[in-house]
Amino acid sequence: MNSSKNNWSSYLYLRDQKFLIVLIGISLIASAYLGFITPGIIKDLYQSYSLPGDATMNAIWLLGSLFIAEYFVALVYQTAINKYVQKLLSHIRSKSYKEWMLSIETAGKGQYGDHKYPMGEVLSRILTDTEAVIEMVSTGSFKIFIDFTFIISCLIGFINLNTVSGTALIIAEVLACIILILGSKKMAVVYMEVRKSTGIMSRVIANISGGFRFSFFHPHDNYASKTGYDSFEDFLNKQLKANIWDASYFSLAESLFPILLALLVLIFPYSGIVEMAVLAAIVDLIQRSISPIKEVSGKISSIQRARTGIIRIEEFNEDLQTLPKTVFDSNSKNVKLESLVVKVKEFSYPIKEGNKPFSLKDIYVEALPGQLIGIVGQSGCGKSTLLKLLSTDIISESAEIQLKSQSGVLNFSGSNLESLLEYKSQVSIVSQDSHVFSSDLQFNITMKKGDSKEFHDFWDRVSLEIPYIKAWGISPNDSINPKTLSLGQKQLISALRSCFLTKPIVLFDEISSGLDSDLEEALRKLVLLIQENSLTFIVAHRIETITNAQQILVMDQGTIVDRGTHVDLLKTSAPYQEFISQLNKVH
Amino acid sequence: MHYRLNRRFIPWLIAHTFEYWYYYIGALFSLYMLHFFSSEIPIMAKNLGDMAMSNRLGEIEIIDFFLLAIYILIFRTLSRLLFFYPARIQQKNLRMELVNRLENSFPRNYKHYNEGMIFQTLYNDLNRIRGFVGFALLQFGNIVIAGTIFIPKITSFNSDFLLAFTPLLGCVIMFSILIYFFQPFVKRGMDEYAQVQNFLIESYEAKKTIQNYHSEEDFFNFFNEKSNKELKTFFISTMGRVFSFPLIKIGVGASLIWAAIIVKNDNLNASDLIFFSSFLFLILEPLMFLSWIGIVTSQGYAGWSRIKELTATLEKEIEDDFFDLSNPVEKPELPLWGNKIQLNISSKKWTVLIGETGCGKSWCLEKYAELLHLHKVKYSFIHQEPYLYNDTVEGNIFLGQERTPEKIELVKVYLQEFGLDVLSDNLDSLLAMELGENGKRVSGGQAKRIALIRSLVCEADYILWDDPFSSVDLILENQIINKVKNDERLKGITFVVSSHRLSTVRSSDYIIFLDKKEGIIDQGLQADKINKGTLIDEFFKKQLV
Repeated sequence: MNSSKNNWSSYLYLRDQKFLIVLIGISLIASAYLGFITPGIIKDLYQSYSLPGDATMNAIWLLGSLFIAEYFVALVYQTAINKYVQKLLSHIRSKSYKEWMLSIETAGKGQYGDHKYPMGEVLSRILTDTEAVIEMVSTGSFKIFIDFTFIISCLIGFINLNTVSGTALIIAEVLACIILILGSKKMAVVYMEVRKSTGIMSRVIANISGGFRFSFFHPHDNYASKTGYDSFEDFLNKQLKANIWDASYFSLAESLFPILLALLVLIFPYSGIVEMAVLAAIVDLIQRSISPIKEVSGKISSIQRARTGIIRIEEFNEDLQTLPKTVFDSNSKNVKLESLVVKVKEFSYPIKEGNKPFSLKDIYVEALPGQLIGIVGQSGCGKSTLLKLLSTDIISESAEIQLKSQSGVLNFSGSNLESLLEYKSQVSIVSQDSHVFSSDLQFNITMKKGDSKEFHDFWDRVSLEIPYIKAWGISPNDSINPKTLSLGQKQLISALRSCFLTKPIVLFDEISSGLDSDLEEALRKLVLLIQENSLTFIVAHRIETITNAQQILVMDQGTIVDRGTHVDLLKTSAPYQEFISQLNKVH
Repeated sequence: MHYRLNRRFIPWLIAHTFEYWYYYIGALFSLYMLHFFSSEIPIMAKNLGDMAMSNRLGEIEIIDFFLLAIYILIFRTLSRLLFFYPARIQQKNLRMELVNRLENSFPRNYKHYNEGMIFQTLYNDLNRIRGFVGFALLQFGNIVIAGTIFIPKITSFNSDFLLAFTPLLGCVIMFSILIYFFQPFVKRGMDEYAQVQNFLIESYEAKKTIQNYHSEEDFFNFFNEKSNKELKTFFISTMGRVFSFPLIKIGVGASLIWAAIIVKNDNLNASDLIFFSSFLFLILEPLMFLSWIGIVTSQGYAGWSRIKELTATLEKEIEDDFFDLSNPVEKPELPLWGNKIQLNISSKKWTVLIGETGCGKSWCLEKYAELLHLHKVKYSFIHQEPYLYNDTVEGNIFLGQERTPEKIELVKVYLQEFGLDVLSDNLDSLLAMELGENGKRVSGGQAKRIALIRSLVCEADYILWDDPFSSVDLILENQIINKVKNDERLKGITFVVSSHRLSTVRSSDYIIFLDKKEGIIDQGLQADKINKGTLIDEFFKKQLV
């Protein structure tokens, strides 16, 4: 938190936008000059009334030109600032997205298999928090800097006319600003609470929004309303509290005008003002300066909001730094696999409240390229845990994987990040969690934009080999609506994806039902196609899938109790026989 | 419940004002007092000038300035609070009402609304309504009241001065036009923002997959593309403000110059110009908000229209000819691919629907659930991929229902029977286990089993399960079905399930074989249909190949 406070401003500096920064600087300087000459011109105007001739008109012309110059300076300044903000937000968002996308959240301690940041959190960090900066632009908060430059130079310009009252006014206004800025610190705390409450509410709304269409068909006793109520109520209370601060704070600023006039009366005996024109110039100056001072409260609180937003993004980014990262590796090459050895001495899930202790023990698997390795066993035998270890969904130091290839030997255990990435890039996974995108089919398979000959060759081949695809009648440019797909069709798409990518190792978590015969056949064919290029591990729920497997691992209570081919195991393995007979019984 | 959302925009607004009339009366009174006191300032400023020049400054009561400051502080604060309070309360009430309506209306009414759209309305649109009620009404009142107090005061002093305000007014109008002109870009920016948001949501759901397939860079590029497009539109939309904001300064300057000329021509005192310029600054604040009133109002109106659109779809009654409610619950007539089919549901028995993927099993179950709903019987329908809330296991099983100790014990029994006890070392901590967003912390199969338990304990007479055991292995499936079928407490329940599996079919009492083209191909008692050389046998034989 402390470090964030110190360097959040460094987030605001973009090195490649020097031109805009210079432009902003120049307009500030121009504004300072215009401010400096303003009190003199105002004084001249009032003075001219007691002078004969064209003096008044001259002063008016001068004043008119001053206002027009001010307009253009403001124009340049705002354009440059807004452009800068556009670049800045683009930079911050893209940086946060990158950090988040590359982070491997599954490695969080005690939180295996879970996203560290819920969706609402990611949305609010990458989007909503930057919105505060957008708000600064749309509410014109950056105007405060040029306005202040102008007013301060006005005050300095006025000291030339009357030192005592000018100095007194500066002191009074600085005091007012300090009070308001101090107040705005308290405001920031209040705003932070509102912001947090908003975050909670948005999370709750997202949560219940997803459930409406399901809970309707079930006695739910207005579950969503009950769940929503607390967060709405909390949001309301935080907002009302913030309003009290907000309203009284701005009103305090509004009441400055009469107070500054009173100050003028109080110092009059000492100021030695004898001319009406000087008095008018200082009243004009008070009026002119009140607006920025009034705004300093509003704008500073909007700057505060933006600042808390930036701090939160920065905290998010810093927190992401503590997680292991993948890298952009579109150029990563598949190795030529020679063998894979998996050793798990003992792995237990981190003890978390409510977790039943479960461990994998003494796992040893050796596999060669092109092999199909089946994993079978009853629910809770540890087959999915083994698959998760293989897919690095769970990272543990006790799981050692040795990957021999032509380019050398890679020893991977959970403690070594570099080898993790190298290993990860050689594996692809087909599971129920595999996401199907609401984009076209081609994108879903290649996960890249655009056409390639490679894809078309692939597509021709799979359409030929798998009749289901033709029967389904889907083509690469058809857009996919994941909601209308069955589980089996989703699995087919993610299996096609794995087949296309030809990673040396493919992990396949077969779905156990929801398949009709054609689809089942299609998936089985696809496993064969995948196997041509890759060592394939498959958690099987059907015997047909693994009858041709080079090795079947029979698991029970976290360990491999038997292994061999289907034919061997049928003869020798009691647990396997039992498994098969139970499958047959229910068939 | 008070149905606020049934009203159109204006009637609703009027009703709202009447509902909180005492706040608004107080708010208007405060605004009046605020402007009444602030309009004293220009006179005092002028007097200050006059007195100082004639050395009579001692006659000025300093305390008056401070009193004025205090009055302004009090009444300004009050006016804001009194305007904001009803807006905030209204926002909460509307949100509660919308949630309540959403959860009690037929999902097919709003099937073209995805999760994100519902979120938008429940979250963003309602925020806009609050902005409108709180802000626009306040500023509108502010301008009107300031005008009624300031104009007579200025006129009574020097009616020419009123004319000198026209440049300021002109600039404010130009300002408003510019803002209005750039408004479409703001709207476009918001749409593009929603796209960025959707992209993020999809990235979130797909993160593991993206990492597995090493497409991080591509997604990073897509994100930048979308995000930069939105930011560019945003930049264009800000140009309206860039041109218009400084216009106000020009307006103030021009008005001041005009007044200076009047002072010169009419041979007025220089201190009269002080009087004018003080008013100029006072009137600026309400005027500055003129354009925002329009914008916030149009945003509020657009938000209200979207909310109305949603509530209108929620209101839609299920067409009567869709269902024939005169049929008994056990003999429902349901639409299927343009045909009507009549199911034969065995009361207090298990009926299973089978057929190829896409033949309409899920559809039939959902239609049957809708029908049961219209018949007002107690039922529970669990989808193929049910939704779990970000809540505990217990919260998800009971949903809003009362949790009695007996029921909790029952849930524990089911948790064991459904093989969910592996999730935790004791059942109490299992009940308290948080499931995360959409049950993220458990597997799909476990999530489904939790949902199945949900329907066993809700005291339903009809339970509809869509492919309940799709992610359960055959052995556990067998175990669950046996336990459920032999459970005395569940004997009175009519089960209708769909399945792909022979195992489930074997355990059922009655089979209905559906086809996309022909409707019901075959149906009958399980004992008559399995291993009897029927079409149903053939269907499963094909599957076993």
